Amino acid sequence: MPWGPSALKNLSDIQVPERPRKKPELVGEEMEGMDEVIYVDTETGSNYSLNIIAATVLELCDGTRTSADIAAIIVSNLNADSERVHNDTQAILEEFAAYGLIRA
Amino acid sequence: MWHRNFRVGNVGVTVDSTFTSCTAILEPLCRLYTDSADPSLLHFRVEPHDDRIRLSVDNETLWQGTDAGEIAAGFEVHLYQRLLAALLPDCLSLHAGCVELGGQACLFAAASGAGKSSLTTAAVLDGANYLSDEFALLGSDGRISPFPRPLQWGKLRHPAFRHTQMLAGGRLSKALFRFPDRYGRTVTTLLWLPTMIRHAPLPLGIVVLPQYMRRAPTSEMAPIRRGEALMELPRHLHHRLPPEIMLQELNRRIPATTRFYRLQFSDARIAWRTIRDLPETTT
Repeated sequence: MPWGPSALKNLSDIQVPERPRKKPELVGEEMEGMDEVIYVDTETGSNYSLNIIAATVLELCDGTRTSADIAAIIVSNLNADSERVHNDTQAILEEFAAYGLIRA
Repeated sequence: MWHRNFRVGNVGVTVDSTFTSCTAILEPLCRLYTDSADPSLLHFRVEPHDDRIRLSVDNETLWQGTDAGEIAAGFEVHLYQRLLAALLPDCLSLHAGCVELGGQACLFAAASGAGKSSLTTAAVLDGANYLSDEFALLGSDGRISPFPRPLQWGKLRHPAFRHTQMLAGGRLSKALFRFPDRYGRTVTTLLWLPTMIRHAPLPLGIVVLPQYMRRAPTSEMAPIRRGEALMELPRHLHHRLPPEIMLQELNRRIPATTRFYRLQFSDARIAWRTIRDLPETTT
């Protein structure tokens, strides 16, 4: 994801949809063995590099799941600390919303 | 009549000329490519038509004129255009210089002015076999096919190399032709013809994303992630394809073992030596 002062909005102003849906124009390409997925926005031609966890969160954004639902799936699969995963998932979704990768 | 059959990637090309003055220019251009007895997909002809010289491909007239240099310039432009279209989907063409390094292909992929021709020239003068200064043909097997067109740049003088340096050692020879532009002014085209050419495909070993900067250190190179390079490489493809297709094709074709570097440099010769002397690439 292209970080930079001009690219980042104030995350506190970002509204994460209750049941986020991945922007349909995003097409992912996994970098084999690299724990990285490159997404191309076929509408704008922009590229986004996500680590495998962030990519998993994005793919789980199907318009039916809440942030808590998504976090619960990741907790169950990774056997990770629940509170931390919930916080991280919310932070990732805020970034996705800031970059327009998810919609209501 | 002069006749030449050659191959670029998977595409066979035939060129016939009945004009000695045109042949004198076309022959050194075509000599760089790999001889082939395969059937031709593209058949260029230079022949008389009324009182003019006609350039055609597969009987479609491409250019007519009276000046041999003008016809040769037209041939070069149309050869590259037709080849790029014919090479798909077997080969993707990246806007990149390419030389042989340690038995593998080493690419310099960049926009015009970023220094890929300077790096390619430095490599050739240092003894590397030449594949291309503009078109790196990436096959579905992860190998780069040669497209050894003459090295050329807009100006007669190269900003980094003197003519005497380029001719010393016999790695390059030069050819020159002139033709009138649309306003009747004489345009001089200087072509540098490498003498050490790689004629068979090579696995893609190294991709360098160079940027010439006048005030940069002489050479500063750092490895980058495959993903970072793949986000950048689609913009260097010659083909207009959907962005997701470009990314997918590059990711599938570029071998998992390929290494990627970003390079800033102000001295092409030192920059090339930095690449050449990478520990993993020395043989």
